[in-house]
Amino acid sequence: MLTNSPRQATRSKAVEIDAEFRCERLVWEVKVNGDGDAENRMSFEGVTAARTEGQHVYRAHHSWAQSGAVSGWQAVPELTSPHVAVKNTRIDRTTVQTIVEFRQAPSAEQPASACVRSLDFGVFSMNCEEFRRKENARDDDTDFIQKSIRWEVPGQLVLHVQLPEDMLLMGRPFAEVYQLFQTADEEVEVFDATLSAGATRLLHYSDLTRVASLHIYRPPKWVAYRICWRLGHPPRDGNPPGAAELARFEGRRSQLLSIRRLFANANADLNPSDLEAKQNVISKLAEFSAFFVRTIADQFAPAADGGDDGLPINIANLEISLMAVYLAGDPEREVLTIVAGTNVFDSKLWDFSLSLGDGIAGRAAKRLQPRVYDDAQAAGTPWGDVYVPLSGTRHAWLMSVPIWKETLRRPYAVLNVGTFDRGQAATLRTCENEKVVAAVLEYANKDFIRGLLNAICPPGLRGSKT
Amino acid sequence: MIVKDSFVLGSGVRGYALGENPHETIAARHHDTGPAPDAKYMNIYRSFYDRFQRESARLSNARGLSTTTRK
Repeated sequence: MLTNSPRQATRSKAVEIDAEFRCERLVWEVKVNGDGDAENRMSFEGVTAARTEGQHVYRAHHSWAQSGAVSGWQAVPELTSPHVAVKNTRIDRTTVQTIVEFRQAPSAEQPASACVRSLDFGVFSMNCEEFRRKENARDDDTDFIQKSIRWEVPGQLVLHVQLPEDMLLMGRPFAEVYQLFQTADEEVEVFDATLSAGATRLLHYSDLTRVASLHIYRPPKWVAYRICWRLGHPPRDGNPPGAAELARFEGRRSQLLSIRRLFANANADLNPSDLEAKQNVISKLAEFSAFFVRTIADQFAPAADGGDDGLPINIANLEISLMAVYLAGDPEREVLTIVAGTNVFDSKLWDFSLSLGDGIAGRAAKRLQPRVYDDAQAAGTPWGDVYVPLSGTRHAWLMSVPIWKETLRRPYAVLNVGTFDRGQAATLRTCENEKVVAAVLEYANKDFIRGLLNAICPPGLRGSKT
Repeated sequence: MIVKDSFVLGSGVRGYALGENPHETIAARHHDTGPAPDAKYMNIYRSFYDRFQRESARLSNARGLSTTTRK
């Protein structure tokens, strides 16, 4: 769910005395992708007045998403008049406030235009099961985008939302309208059946393009418009998993999570069997690391003299970590936590939990697809915020490889390979091709996970360990 | 395992779509028991093995979990 309505409004209608914003057309376009991200574009066309507390500024209300994360808004230069600047104030991960500053006062004689874009990460769900596992889940399976008109006076309000093929719908999208009322300390939304019926008649939905559009002429002040949709159930393929299969799956997840305790404890503090398990785990991680280096090195032609000087990787700059999935929160949701790796001593990193769908690793686990983040390309764009910095340092390049149970289509773990070093990133980029990714994915889901589970609990001992 | 194609989610953010059931492919192809060790990469394996050991010790020290450093 994405809305520009605040959770706790503190303004009253008195704000109208200090603020004025008039434009010919206000257009909000939202494009949702299969990861549940929303690409937003908000256009203010034909702005004839923009004033807040004596300045030529449009101070938008908070943009807020119920879950996931939001980026700041950036101007789209080619669609924005000269002398218009956009500034953001981040309230928290899901809330940002934006100011559009008109350095030359817009007027009827010289109207201005501004177009801003932003991204919302992991906000939308593809089906009702995913929706109910969200951090702030509701039980009505209904998601929406919402645009509130408060003191603004647009001649026309246009909302477009494009839904991805991956999103399962129950029925067609519909419109809802809410009246906004100010109390002493909050804004209250009250459903308006008459306005909603009128808006639903104006809503057009294309089954072909999966775009829902709502055009409202001269929308009244202090009204919120929603384009809503109900999410469908994911299909069930074949027979449902048996209790034994689910138990094995959960047991393996627990085993992988147990690596965390082994890795965090000094060797001297572990009993002999745990110490042996830890050494085996580290051996499997080292085998994977060597395999990865060998795979990268194979991308390069051998050195002319046949020696090893051509190996382009400084392994001290290669960071490897293993994350395991476990259930947390109420309602329960799947999260990732690091169980072993390099550079994990920072408590901000070691104690962090990442929801499935968040960050690069969370996306890999949620979609069961390898994911790559390249900071040199993403930094400075809204996509830079897709990366969740778990410590003070950002990866220059990162690949997250999911490990999962195919029959259940659910993840066990994620292997992260990356670097904080920009020079090293140039080398790692060479593995961004289908052949190398397939090899790493196969190794992770075959030799690595099998060897790791045996390392924690050898087959002959399974069930006897406490 | 078949990676069907790569796709760009946004600037610097990419993913890889899989073309077939990877685990069935594994079952059909899997005969080996792990990477064949060779001398060239044994050194790399050993370097990482030592590094993971050091990182674990660093972590347990940072969290005060090591009895060897606790006073």
